[in-house]
Amino acid sequence: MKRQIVRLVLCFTLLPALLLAQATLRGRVTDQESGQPLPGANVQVQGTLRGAVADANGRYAITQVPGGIYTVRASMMGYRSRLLEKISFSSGKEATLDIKLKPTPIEMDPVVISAGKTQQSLDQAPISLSVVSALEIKQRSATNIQDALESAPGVHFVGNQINIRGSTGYTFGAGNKVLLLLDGVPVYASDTGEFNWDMLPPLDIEQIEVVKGAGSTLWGASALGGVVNVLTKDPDPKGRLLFSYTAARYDKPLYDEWQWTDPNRLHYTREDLSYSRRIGRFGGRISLGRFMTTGYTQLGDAVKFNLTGKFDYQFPGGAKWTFYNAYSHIDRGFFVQWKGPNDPYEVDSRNLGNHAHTNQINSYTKLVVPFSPTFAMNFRASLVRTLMGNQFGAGGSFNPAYGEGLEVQADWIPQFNHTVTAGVQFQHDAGSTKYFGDHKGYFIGPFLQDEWKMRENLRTTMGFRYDRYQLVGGLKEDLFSPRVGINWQPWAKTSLRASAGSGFRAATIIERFLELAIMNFKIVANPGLKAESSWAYDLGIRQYLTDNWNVDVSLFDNEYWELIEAHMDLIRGQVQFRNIPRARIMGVEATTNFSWPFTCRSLPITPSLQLTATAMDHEELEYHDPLPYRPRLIASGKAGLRIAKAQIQVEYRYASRIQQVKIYPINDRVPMKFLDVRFSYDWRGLSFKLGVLNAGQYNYAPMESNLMPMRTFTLGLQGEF
Amino acid sequence: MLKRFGLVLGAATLIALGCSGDHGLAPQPGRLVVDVFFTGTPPPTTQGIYLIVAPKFPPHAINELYHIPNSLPIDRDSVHAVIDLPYGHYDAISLWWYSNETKSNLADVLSLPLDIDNGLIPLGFDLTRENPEAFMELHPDWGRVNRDAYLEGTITFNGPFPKNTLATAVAAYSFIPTANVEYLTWLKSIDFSVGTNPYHYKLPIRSGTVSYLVVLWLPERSALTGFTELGFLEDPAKPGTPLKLKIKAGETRQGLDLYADWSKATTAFTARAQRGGTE
Repeated sequence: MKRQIVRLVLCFTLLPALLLAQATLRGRVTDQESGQPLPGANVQVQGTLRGAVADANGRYAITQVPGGIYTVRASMMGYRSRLLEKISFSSGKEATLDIKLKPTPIEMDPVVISAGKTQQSLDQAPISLSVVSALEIKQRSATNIQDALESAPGVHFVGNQINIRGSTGYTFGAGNKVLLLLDGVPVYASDTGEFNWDMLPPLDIEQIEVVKGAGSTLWGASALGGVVNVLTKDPDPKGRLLFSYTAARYDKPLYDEWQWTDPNRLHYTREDLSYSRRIGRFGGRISLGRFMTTGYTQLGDAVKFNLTGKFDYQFPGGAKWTFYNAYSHIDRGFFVQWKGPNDPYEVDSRNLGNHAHTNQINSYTKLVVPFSPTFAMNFRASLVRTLMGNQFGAGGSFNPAYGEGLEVQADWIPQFNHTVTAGVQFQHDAGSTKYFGDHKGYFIGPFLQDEWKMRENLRTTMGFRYDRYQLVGGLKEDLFSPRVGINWQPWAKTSLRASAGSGFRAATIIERFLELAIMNFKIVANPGLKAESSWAYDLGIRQYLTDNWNVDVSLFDNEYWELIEAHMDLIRGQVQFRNIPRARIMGVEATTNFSWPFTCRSLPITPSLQLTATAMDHEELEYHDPLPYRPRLIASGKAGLRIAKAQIQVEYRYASRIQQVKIYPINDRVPMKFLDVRFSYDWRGLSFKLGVLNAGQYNYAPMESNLMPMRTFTLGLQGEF
Repeated sequence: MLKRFGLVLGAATLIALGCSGDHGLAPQPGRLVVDVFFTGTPPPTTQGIYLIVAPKFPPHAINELYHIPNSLPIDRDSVHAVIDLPYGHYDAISLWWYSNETKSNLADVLSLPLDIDNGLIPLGFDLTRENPEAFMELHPDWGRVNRDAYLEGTITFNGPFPKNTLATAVAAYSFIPTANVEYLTWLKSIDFSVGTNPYHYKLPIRSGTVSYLVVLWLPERSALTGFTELGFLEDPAKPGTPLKLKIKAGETRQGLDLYADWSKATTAFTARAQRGGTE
């Protein structure tokens, strides 16, 4: 310990001398096949905090690298990541390293940040994690984050609530058991805990990372059943204009008796425009988006707007300041439940006129200061402001909910084989309406994690976090969240991982305090709700069968305490959120990714296949009932074929019949079986798209009395200049 | 190349459309047609009336009932109504009254046709592929929900409420219930808001005879008729025998104090658990 302190003091006092003694790495990143430069490619010197992004000509420069022998990693979306080992750096000298990257239809080993709050390759992560790339989002013509996540392994949506390995179920729009992050910053509404999946245009998204299982040790409150981290694109080095237009038409209902309006008028459109550019040290991206739909049901209409901006400035010493702001406005009909099973697209006449609007601002600013090649500080401040209105005809009854966050994080590599991440996070949430009064609460939580590279192929991670939650004028809770993980690569193509981590989520303001009469039900407050907590155990293997084919299998056991679920008191017609003392979700998840690029008569052809299945056994442990709104099996298959510039993709998604529901258990329930077919053709920076979603005209209700869309025909055009 | 790609695209589309044998949810194939003939006039506190169909009677919970989404018209002498249902057997049909003043009350059944030939059990019907449509007549009397009197008193419990309490109620019956189903069929009025010790109650009721005034308890996960009696209003002249009351229109009968004994709940709950769980 004493030695470490001496090192730290030396590190600061001898900094100028050290900088002079350090090396610089320069080079160019290009496409292996075309030789074209790859602006935006990421180059990282492993074992240090030094890295760089390639400029408009594909050139990069990494300064202040201490002398030694390192592994350099280069990565870019749409290309296979490359590790260049035993690169030697001599102090005070300049090294040159040109890197060629090979295009790939499926990125097998992307760089991720959500596993350890620092960059690492997916194969080296000690936890189960899946990634949705910008390329996949583009191929799906996703209209929002929810669309983009729908095919991620282990992810399933019930309504608009996300389930990672069955985490959330359906909580009637009051609290998710998953934490949503935007570039690492929590972005849940401070009163309801809900997510705004429309908070930014899909064009802005670089990558979405999905952490399976509890993640509170690093990410804090709400990471009970998993973490979704939406990473936005950085400004483009040479200036880039992106646009996207999607128009869709809903088919008529399968059964004539379900037809409720002229089916020719039911459609949606989405338009997005984004421009980004880096000028010297300054970079900026501005995006505009609009989504308009008539809906496929009565009260299904919506208009959504986005305006986002991301700006950064890179200081000469390597420090980087970033400011991001996303504004979204949503005005939509409020479809609660269908009129009846023979009128599934209509609502009860009492509900006609229900409209809701939401205005949300997500803002953050970050400053990353690398004090040395092995020590950096990150400072972050964030704000989420949400204003809902007109819910249930209660116009003007809501005041804005505010969530303010502050975080300081230090990344330190005290020795070559240790990476220490430590920090403290503060989060303040406030909400106010006539339905639950004025309430405020805050968290403060210090955290510490050490990733220890015991051998070249063996890494362990240990960390903990302590949180104090205080509801102002109410209860106080202390939560301790440790975690331990190991990643071992016994052979070049095999990666084994095991982890045990804990998570927690304090009840949201709406779960504790909402008092509301809706239709014939009354929602009753429960101010004494305890925080729910979990332990997630995960054991996994990732095996490469060839360079283009891998299999990932994991066994998981998520143990829950004081799980918060909606309790229906059907005797008195009341709903109340209550704690379930113990629950468990355990199961197995398997994923395989395969692609086979070859050339036939000078035509590049790439068939690809992704198969994934998650089997879960879930129960509450008092009465041994299945947990509500969770299927036992979710599975998906995605087969693609690219021939030169044309591509076709067929995707099938399955979820077994939900065993337990809360409101109408006698309503028919069926498994989910969706088939989507997509076709695209690329031409000079333009991408023409056709799609048939729910091609089999399958009628599915994820929760009672809410039917998913019928067959939908989509037409799209995306451009990149 | 385009020709080949077209073939692939065509094949994929055919596969997609070929998977169209199973379409998931479908419209309900059966229907019950009901003619309703009212007697009397609706109470001014009427919010609406709903047609309810029970696949099982007594139902385990009120969400195991099919119902129409909108109230039937209440300003007419007769109404024609249709409810779409899956094929199957249905034990009972009823009309449920909703008040815009009082809380929902299990006794708010405006009409429950009974099978007089088979021991006064509710009258059921069947919907099959061969006979997808059934017809019934209902003759509700608005007077049944016209609560023109009150019973008032204090309930004293001999200890705290058990943790597994779903609901505790005070209920008035026109006859003494002897079987599970009679806890619903003979019910005149019930109040589920009993939640403190002591509890002062004021139970709205239709004038007439009350044969049984009782404190009922339902444990968590219990069926709607899984009541345990904690105590009833005894005839002081004949201890152990229920006191019969004659209530006049507009009367508030006071001083009807009840004593509730939790040991009866423990005994009944243990016995039920030994018999294999919920009822």
